[in-house]
Amino acid sequence: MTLPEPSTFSVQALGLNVTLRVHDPALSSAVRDAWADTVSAESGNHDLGIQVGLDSGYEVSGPDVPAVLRSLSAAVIRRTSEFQRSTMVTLEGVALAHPVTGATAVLVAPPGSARDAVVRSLSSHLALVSDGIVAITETGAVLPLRTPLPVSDDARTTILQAPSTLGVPALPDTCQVTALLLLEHQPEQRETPTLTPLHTADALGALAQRSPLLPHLSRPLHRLAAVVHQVDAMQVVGYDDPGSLAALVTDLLTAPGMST
Amino acid sequence: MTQVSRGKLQDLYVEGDRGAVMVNGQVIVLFPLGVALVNATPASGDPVGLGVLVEAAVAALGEPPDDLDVEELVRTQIQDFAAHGVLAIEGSDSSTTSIDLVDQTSVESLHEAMATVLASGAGRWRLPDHVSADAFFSTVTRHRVSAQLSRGLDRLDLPEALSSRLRAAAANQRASCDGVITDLHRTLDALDRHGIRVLLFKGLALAAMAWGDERGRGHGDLDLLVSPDDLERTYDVLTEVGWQPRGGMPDPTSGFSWHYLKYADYELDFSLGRSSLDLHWMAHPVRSGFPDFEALWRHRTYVSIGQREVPTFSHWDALTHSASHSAKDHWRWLRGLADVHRLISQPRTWESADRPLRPDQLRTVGISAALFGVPESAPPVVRTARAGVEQEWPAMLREQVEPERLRPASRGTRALLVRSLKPLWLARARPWDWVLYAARRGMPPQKLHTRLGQPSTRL
Repeated sequence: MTLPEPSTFSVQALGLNVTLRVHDPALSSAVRDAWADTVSAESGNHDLGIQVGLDSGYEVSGPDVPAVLRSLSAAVIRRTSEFQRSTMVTLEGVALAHPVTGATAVLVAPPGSARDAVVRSLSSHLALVSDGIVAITETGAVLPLRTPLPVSDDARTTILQAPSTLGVPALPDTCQVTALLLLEHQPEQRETPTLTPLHTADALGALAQRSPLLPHLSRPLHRLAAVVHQVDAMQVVGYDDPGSLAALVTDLLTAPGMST
Repeated sequence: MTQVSRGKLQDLYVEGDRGAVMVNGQVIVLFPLGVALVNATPASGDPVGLGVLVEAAVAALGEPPDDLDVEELVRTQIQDFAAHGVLAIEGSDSSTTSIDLVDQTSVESLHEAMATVLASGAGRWRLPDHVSADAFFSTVTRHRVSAQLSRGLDRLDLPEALSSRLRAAAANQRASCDGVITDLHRTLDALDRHGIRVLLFKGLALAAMAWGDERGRGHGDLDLLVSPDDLERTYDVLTEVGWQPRGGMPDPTSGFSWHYLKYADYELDFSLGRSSLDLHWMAHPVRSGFPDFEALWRHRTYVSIGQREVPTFSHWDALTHSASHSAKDHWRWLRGLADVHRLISQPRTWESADRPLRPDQLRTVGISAALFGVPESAPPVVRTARAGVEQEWPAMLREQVEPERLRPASRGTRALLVRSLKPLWLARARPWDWVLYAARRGMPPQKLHTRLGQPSTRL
């Protein structure tokens, strides 16, 4: 018996063309809708291929469509960041851009920084460039990896959707790092967020802990330092309520001289 | 210390009088003295004398106050850097660790050092002259107690270079916990979203409970316990998060071999980059000897891991589990015995007791008390247990010096079988446990899965 041909389409992730081969018609439309923000019309320049299906024999699989979509996001993040590990600075965190200017804040998120709440708060008026891993080129460009977002907190019933369908602003043409923030959740410590600049050496120490692929780069500390210099200085942002970060980050991205 | 050279640095970045260096995959932030010392050592690897480094320090920092011994300050910094691999001291390989160096005297010395650190008094301990720093460090490394020992370095009279190596090893262990904690939070977020109850135990949870610091005993695997009823759903969530199951093992779609795994075994291994995770549906291989998930969930308490409250075993369940685990390993690791000592030193452990200790657990408590002292607040059962462990002592010491699996075959099959079955007997295993043990030994789930044929991976 001949297996039906899979649906094939490309998505853009961390500057790569990732070809998804989806082996189930019901799954195919769900994947295409969820990744609609990043689907590429051209399937040339194939960099990576991922096989997707409901059967456990595929690289990405799961018992139902929502489960497959969640697995697919994790797989795309893993495969693309591994692929780019010797060329890009990759940091664990989230990147959000001004939807017009492309000025981008990279928020480095250690454990306990309430990252999900920060993303929910900021992505209603800033464009979500990437969530989970942030990749920065030598020129300071932040490469998009726009994974689908959950419709609600209840992942047992929800399905992932393209960020644009959930009201997240569209990505600008280019995203350039203009602020580099180390999140430091300080429950019940202060009402308004505070910003504290770090010396480059201290920034390197903090960033290295959130950059597991760093040793794969050539001259890794110089690459990290170059990112820090692109924003003048990395800053620690101390906060209690993640919702209070929205105004602060927006101000940072709209301050004079911040547009790209 | 005569000559010092630069270590094998992956990168060095200097900005003004501050900087950072990457060595062995770790980034170390440099302050002005560190920058001066690293800059004074040639990148070619050629060595320089201590005098050159002292001059460099004075040139960078200015003339010191009269009461400051600059040479001693520089010497201490060099030893710290040598411990991390930033600098190398000629004629001393600070990275030397070897199982060949571990012997009975080094193990007994570590017993004494740990007893000093674990004791509530202010006693001090000095490394005996006949135990070399390398042998002691190798023993600490073998027994994975550098972080625990470093808590009490102020009460140990050790050569400065050895103290530096212990501090460096402890710092590396602590730093390695961060990535694991990130992976744990992501995993717990996903499980929470699916409404799956999960208990974190051993590792980070035990460190937080026993040592008051989730990074206080280094990191190992993440160990998660879920209800057997949630096993399949948990498997799917873990793979969604990106955890990769160990190759060759059955998965929930594997039919009979999955059901065999679920009933004959008790854990599955996953990996995710630098982290590994053991998913358990039974907390202990001897099922009848340990509470099931529902009972453990009812008893649960919470520990803070990376500023997040995470459910874990009650103090009593943690003690009995750790004690059983240590007995299963024939008490070969001091790390586990030190965990037990920390737990029996806490009144809350005894307040949460809801069942008596089993013979294997009692043995472990007794050995721990014999090694590190009977805690002041411990109930009489600890003294009783301590009095009954003499018969285990020679075999335990032999295991701690050289584990059975590292020794050349020296016993017949029958002796090995008796040895492997003894922990089950001490754990009061019931007939069904013996059947499952025999099944796992005779037909491991992975082997059965291979025989039945794995589904082919489509590319």
